[in-house]
Amino acid sequence: MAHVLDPPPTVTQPCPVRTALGDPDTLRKILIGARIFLSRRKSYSSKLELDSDAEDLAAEAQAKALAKASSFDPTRLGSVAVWIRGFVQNIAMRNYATTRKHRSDPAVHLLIDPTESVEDRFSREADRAAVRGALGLLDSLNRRILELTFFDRLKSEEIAGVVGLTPANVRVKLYRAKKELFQLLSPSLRGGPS
Amino acid sequence: MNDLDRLTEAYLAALDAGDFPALDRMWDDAAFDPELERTLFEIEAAIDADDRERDDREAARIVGAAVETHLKSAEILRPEGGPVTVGDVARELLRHPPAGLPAAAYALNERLLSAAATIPSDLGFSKFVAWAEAQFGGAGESYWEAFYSGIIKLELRAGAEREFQLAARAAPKPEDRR
Repeated sequence: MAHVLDPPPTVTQPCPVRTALGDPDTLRKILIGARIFLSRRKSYSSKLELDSDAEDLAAEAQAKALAKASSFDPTRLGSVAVWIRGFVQNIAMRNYATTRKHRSDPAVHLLIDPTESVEDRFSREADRAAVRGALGLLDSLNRRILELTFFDRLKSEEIAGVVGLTPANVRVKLYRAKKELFQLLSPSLRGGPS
Repeated sequence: MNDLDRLTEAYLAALDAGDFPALDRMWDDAAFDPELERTLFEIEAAIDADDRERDDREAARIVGAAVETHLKSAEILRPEGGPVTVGDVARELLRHPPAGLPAAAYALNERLLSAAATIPSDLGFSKFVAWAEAQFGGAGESYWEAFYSGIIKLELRAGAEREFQLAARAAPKPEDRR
């Protein structure tokens, strides 16, 4: 006797874009991305003004993502959060003309790919007084992070435990502190006016 | 320096330089690498937190500078519980300058206004002068005497504030005592 099978029920897959846009964590990431891009394209006189523009930009990116939700293909585009973040960057580039000058700071390149690293500079006897003086001009937390990195040879994860920040926060502060220190040291190391 | 340190530096350098193609490349890789995606979002959150902290500090500095310029008799009390810094004492001397200091002392004090170095505790006066001159150069003994008095004054003030806050803390509710 032949069995008549019911057709399998149609399972509607939830739209990944809608799901992502309903996730507060994704929305927070979009807003952070918007603030970062805007603050680098435009000089803001107040945090409120930046926050307001960032909220507008994030909302526009969400609307755009929603409008294109049907075309999102995870096998081709990968992460939906990264895809939505791409809208933030594109809209920021298109709608907010750069009024803020980006500087390709030579100090940054020296720090990333040093011919003579900051660590080496620390160890040179002649530079120690200059380094001590420059360290004294830094924010106390940034100075502590530099000391823990170069004098105590701790890793970012270990420093995070000491100063009560996340490792990512420590890495960002370390990068900026090194850059600031390099800028403070540059005149004295080049023999120019301090 | 590990891979995460290098990635953070590369991301910040690209952002500082406005190198959007480099940022795009990193995010393109992250779209198919959940670990990298998580790391990049963490870096962005850390950058944002640091940006906001810097904005707050800068705003406080601008307001503080405006008050110090236009309300010379005003004293800005910073509610920091940390140790006394060189800059704190220099600001105190700027507000209450001792008489008869040489010009070099004023020039040094001006330079020390932004110094964030904390002052080593339990130094006697002569050891303090040796430490200070090694760090910041000489400015005459009268300046360091005034500076040393300033340290003691600020430490006493900070101690009094801590005691006041301790005394003024809210009493625990009976149900919290259990």
